[in-house]
Amino acid sequence: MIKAKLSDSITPAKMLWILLCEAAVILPHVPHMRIWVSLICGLIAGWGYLIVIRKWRHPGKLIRLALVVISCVAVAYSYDTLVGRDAGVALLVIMLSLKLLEIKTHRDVILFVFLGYFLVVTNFLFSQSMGMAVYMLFACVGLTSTLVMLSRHDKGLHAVSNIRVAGTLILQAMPLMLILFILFPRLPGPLWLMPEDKNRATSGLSNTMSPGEISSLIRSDAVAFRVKFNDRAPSASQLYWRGPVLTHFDGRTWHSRSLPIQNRPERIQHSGARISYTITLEPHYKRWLFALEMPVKIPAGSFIDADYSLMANKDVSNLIQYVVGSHTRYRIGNELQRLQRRFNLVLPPTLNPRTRAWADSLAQRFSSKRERIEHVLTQFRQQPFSYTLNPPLLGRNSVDDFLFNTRSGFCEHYAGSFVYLMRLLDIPARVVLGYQGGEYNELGDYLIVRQSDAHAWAEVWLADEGWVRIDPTSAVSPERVETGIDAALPERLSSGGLVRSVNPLIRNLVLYWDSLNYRWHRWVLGYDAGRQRNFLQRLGIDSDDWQDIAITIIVTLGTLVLAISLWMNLHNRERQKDSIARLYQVFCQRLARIGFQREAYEGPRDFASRVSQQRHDLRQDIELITRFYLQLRYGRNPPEQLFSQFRNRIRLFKPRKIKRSITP
Amino acid sequence: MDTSIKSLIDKANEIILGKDEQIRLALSCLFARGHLLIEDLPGMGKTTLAHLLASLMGLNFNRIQFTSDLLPSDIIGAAVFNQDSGSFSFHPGPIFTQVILADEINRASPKAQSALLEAMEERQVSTEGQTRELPEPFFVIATQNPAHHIGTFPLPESQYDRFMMCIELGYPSRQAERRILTGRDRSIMLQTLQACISPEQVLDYQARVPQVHVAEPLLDYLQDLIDFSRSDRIDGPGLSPRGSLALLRCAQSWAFLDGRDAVIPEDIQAILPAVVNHRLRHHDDLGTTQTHAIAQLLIESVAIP
Repeated sequence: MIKAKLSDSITPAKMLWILLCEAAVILPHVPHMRIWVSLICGLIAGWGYLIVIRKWRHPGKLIRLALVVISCVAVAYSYDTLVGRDAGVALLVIMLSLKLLEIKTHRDVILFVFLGYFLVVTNFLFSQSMGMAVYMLFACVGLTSTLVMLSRHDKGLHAVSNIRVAGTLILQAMPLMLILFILFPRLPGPLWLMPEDKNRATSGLSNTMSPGEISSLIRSDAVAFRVKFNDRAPSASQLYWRGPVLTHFDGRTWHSRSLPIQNRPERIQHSGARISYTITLEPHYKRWLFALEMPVKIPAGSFIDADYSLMANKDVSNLIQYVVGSHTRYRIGNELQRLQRRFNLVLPPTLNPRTRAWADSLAQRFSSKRERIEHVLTQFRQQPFSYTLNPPLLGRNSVDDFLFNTRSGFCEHYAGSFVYLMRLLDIPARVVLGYQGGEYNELGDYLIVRQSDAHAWAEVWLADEGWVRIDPTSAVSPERVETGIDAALPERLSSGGLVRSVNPLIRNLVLYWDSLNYRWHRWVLGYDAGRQRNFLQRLGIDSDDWQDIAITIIVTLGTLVLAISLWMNLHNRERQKDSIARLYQVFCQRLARIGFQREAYEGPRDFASRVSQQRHDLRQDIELITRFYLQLRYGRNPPEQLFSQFRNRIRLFKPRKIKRSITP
Repeated sequence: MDTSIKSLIDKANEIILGKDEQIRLALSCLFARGHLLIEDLPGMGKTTLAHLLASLMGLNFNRIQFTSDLLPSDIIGAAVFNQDSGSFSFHPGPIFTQVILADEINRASPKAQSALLEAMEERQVSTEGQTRELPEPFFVIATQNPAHHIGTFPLPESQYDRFMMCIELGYPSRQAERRILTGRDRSIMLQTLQACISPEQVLDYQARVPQVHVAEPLLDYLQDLIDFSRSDRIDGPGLSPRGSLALLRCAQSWAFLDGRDAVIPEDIQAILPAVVNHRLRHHDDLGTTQTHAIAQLLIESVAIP
């Protein structure tokens, strides 16, 4: 085996730096890895460090092989698989740590660093936020600084200057990165799409509704989507963002059961001005796309289903952007087919006897459906119903319990019981889930709709009007619709979310941060094939023609590289000029040490000949250095490699005093 | 380096012995398109040097002996009535030549002096409403006796500035003197001398001198020197811009003679005494004082950046 060269050896300081880099790379993975993986990594890192400082033996081939096999088995056991995002990353992290045990030479470190780069990239599989991108940039600087450290000849660590060099390198690579980002052909799908892990926790609306489900959602300040209106935004009371429609009730939970037919947007009768807007939707792993009631102009790759929900052709598993045109004055469902009518009237039998009795009495008192609806809403308004985030638990006959006992609930209680009542009164009705309202961000001129804006309302079918939206919550708590969730539920404020803080400074900071994120989403993550085509078309490049793209990439990269190298060349020349004089100073100092002080006014050539006359042994060196110096400092366009020759000569020039031999 | 320049210098050294530096200075002055003032006692070889330079470069040579009764027309020429044609025709004076030796310039009256000096500056002569170009190259070598000699009109300071350089020949060394004593007659040697370069080559060299590279640090050094000459550590006025330009050109020319295409600080130091001494000379009642010391002071006071 070849013994590692001295300069190639890994000093404890270097090892510590490598470990720091490893920690920086692994850290963002810690939250989503099994605990034992992180622990193992820490143990292995400690072992690797001890190997270096205590000069322990490196583990043998057999031990390493055993470790690899054990960790593979452990990952497979713990994650049920070896492939897939989570298991794969865990395996990679362990392998990266194991590599520490066989670091002997610089070559090993370089391999380690490249593995590290790869691991950094895997972070994008988990989060594509701006903060993560910035963190990854720093991690890359750290890894690169390790490479810088290796390429230094001296043994010192020089952490700060290494980081500076690495940072400069990364900065210099930025324009290159930008060009590739803008020009490189996009895959039609999202770049970071992974086979979905089944056990992924998601937040957001689901296609069922049972008491307590939305009120738990409402505690989350996570952003559901952001809306940019082309013109003025409609008033708050019109901001009903339609999501899934629930028609089936099993006594406790409402389910969506849509007919497998598609509605054409043309079937929506509408009037008034069209509201156009762009929605940036966070992934929620369901198919529906939210839109203002009622979407008329829908984006490509989507359709309107039988219940007039806007649906994507596949699950929204990553951030998407789409443009919708809606009308707030509309009419849908002119005729109700028999099957649909049945779907929207059916109820589980026997449950909620008190409600049924009340409904029967109402049916006898009012013959008109309008009157029945009005009466129920009036009851909501007049009886001591309250709107609260923490409703008491309901029993088996949940609607009875709610209408006659607890009388305090959340939008899902009101929408659910209202639809239940309507169906008992022979009015086809259904629950619509979605979001209501949103927070306007003045800084970015867009609307933020959060999970806490989740809402449920009802739709009833009237023969002459079609499906009509009725929001029973607004009967109980008009503030909810007029001014938003926080006005309606002061308890939410006191529970102290940063997002809805009353402190204007904090609020502004939060909004500012959100608008930054919004831009990140809009311009970086949302830069997909379509946007790229639009952008390139504006530059006059046909993105469908790969030759065009290739030529553009090559030309821009070429120009960039040329510009950078020219600039560096000039820059280097400037820097060299300074170092030429400095190096010559070193040369003069060394000669001064052996007794040849150069006068400030003494020309280099005069000085050289003066010294050479007395020291014939140094003559060759001195004359060569002086010639290089004169050429570099005063010459016209000195050759490129002359500077390094000059520098080397001066480095090697170490004159010694001649000991005066005593001559008789 | 141009071998012909080397042979030129070698040849000159064969005739004027032990005066290599002065010959080089004279040549750099010529190639920098300047005029030369030689200040020395009679019989030191001033005329020989002037004659030698003209012969080696194949240039026409005229000599004017300045005397107190010399008139401008004796230098420039005069219109003479031609009886055959019945009109005045111009008879060019001795100045219409390529190398002119103005011997003992400080013996002539200021009027005659200024006629020459004007021609030097303008490189043309205007008489009777007509402007006549002087030939190219045009090189004036003036000699003068040290100022305290009897019967001299010392040149005013402004006139000194027109000479790019002022050199002294000085006594030859003992060895050189021995060879002069034992060797052939210098005037005969001069007459049989073959030209080493052609007048066209001289013009070519003159064109190439300003292209010799001057790096930034060197310009810094040059300007430091000039600034120092203008500071109050030196008595009297400092170097004029014409003087600093002369410094630069002479340094370029010196480097060119040395076969280099870039100026180094030693070039400036080498030509500095010859260029600045007569400009910074400060007259007291007795004449000149400590001319060498000024240049030496400049060199030793200014660090090379």
